[in-house]
This record gives sequence, structure tokens and C-alpha cells, in this order.
Amino acid sequence: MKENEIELKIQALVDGELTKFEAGKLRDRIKNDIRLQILHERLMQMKDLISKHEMPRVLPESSAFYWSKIAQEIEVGGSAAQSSAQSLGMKWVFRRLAPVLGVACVALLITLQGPNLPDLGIVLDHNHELLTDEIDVMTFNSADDSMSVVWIDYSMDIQKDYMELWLD
Amino acid sequence: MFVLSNFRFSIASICIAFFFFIDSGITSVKSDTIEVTASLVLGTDKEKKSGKKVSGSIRKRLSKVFKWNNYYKLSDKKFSIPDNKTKSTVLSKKASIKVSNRKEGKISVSLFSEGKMLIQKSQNLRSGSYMVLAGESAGDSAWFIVISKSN
Repeated sequence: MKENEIELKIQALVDGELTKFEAGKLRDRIKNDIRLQILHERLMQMKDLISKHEMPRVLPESSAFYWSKIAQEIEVGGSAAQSSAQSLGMKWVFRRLAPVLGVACVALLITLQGPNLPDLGIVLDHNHELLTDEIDVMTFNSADDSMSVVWIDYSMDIQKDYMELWLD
Repeated sequence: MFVLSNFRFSIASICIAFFFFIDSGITSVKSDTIEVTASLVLGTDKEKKSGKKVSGSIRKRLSKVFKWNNYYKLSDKKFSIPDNKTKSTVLSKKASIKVSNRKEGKISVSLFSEGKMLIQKSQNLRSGSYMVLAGESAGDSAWFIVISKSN
């Protein structure tokens, strides 16, 4: 056992904090060790001196007063903790909702602005993909006539084709 | 005070959510089935007494751009295409088209001739507007495929 621990044990023995078994065991050890005997003796003297010469201290208020104060403090602390937990919850919700609302507002703005775009009819947003490289293509858009034309350099005898289709 | 502001905050988010709900409904209505008309037209200077002439609106538009005086309708196909679907139709023995109903009024038309795709064109086509694919034909004439949307 470490020296510091033994000293603490002896202090506990002097203060009467040890069980009977522990106290008996420690007393046996003290009997066999002169250094521990000296320490025990000193501590006993100290205890005796303190108990005889300590100045009496009188509390300005009764102990009941202090207990009620402590109870009040606990109550106030509890409610404060509760309200801080509530505000933390609110902050959490706000933090989560703020970006979502931001995105929603931007989307709303874009959607509301949509119908205000100039109505260019067919001229807007058209594209074509030519799949045969040898064929030339010319595109013409007429916004006034609401018509888009793709002229393809590809000859088809449609009169003959058309007749053949129905003859088949 | 904080509770009140939070309440207003919640009301605002509900309103926004409601707006998006309504807006998505409108969008879904917008992208419903479309009615498409595809006409195969012959442009020529020759008069064909038995030929069926195209409507005044098509003739007016085509004659403004092209040199031919007469425009005859050889075939006329009407079909409805549900949202995000494609339909094919044969206009002549060598010409057929595939029309796809894309989102937000956009259609995509692919022209096929003799088994190969010549061109694919995509655009926003409103009712009353025309998409025309055209090319040369025999005897100083031209072929036109006029596509329009009824709804």
C-alpha cells in the first residue's frame, strides 16, 4: 500500500470512518510500525485539540433558511434549463428550415417570372439533329407566321411514293 | 414573441408548399396528351384538278416562303400522343415520321426515308404554329411535311 493511502486510512480511523474489520486490521499494522504509531498519535492529538479549542461559529440564519434557499435555486435552475432547451429546439428547427425556405423562395420567384418572359413562340428552344452527313439542311423561322421550316437537301418523288403506298 | 414569429414562419412555409402543390398540378395538366396533325404536301406550279388543296393558312404561309403556286395535300394523319410517348405514322411509301410528346409543349419529330432517319427536330410547338420539314421532289416540285398541334 502506498504511504499516502496509509496516512489517509489512519486519518479515517481517527475520524471513525472505517468499519470494525478495517479498523482492527489497521490497528494491527500500526502496532507493528513505529512510524505509523507516531502519525496516529499526532492525528489523535490534533483531533483532541480541535475538538477542545475550536471557536464556535453561529450562523446568522437558521439552517431551514438555507435549505429553502437551496430549494429555490434548484427550482429556478430547472426552469432555466427547460427554457434554454426549448430555445435550442427552436434554433435547430430554424436552422433546418431556413435553407429549405430559401430554395423554395428562389423557385417561387423563377416560377412567377416564367409567364413574364417574352412570348417568342416557335423561335425559342428548337434544335435539330442531322443523322446523315451527306445531307445539307437549312432552317428558317418565321415568328410572324408561327412557322419553322427545315429544308432538307433530300429528294423524294412523293407523288409516286404516295401512289405506290396506296397501290400496295 | 418568438413563438408568434415562429407561427408566422410556419404559415409562410405552408403557403409556399401549397403553391408548389398547385403549381405541380398545373404542370401535370400542361403535359397531357397532345393532338398532332401531320400532312404530306406537294408544292408545284402545275394545276391538278383532282388534287386536294391545303388549308388557306398553310398555303398562305408556304407561298410566302416558297416559289410554288399550288400546294396539294396528299395525306393527312391525325393522332394523339400521351405525355412522354412516341407515335409513328407513314405518310408515303418512302416517308414516315415519329413524333414524341416531350415535356412542357415540346415535341420531337424524326423523319425516316427508306429505313434511315434523315433528321430529328425538337421544338416548342404551340397550337396554331407549324413545323415544316421540306425537300425537293421530281419535276420541279417539292415535298412538305407540315406538323401542327391542335391542343
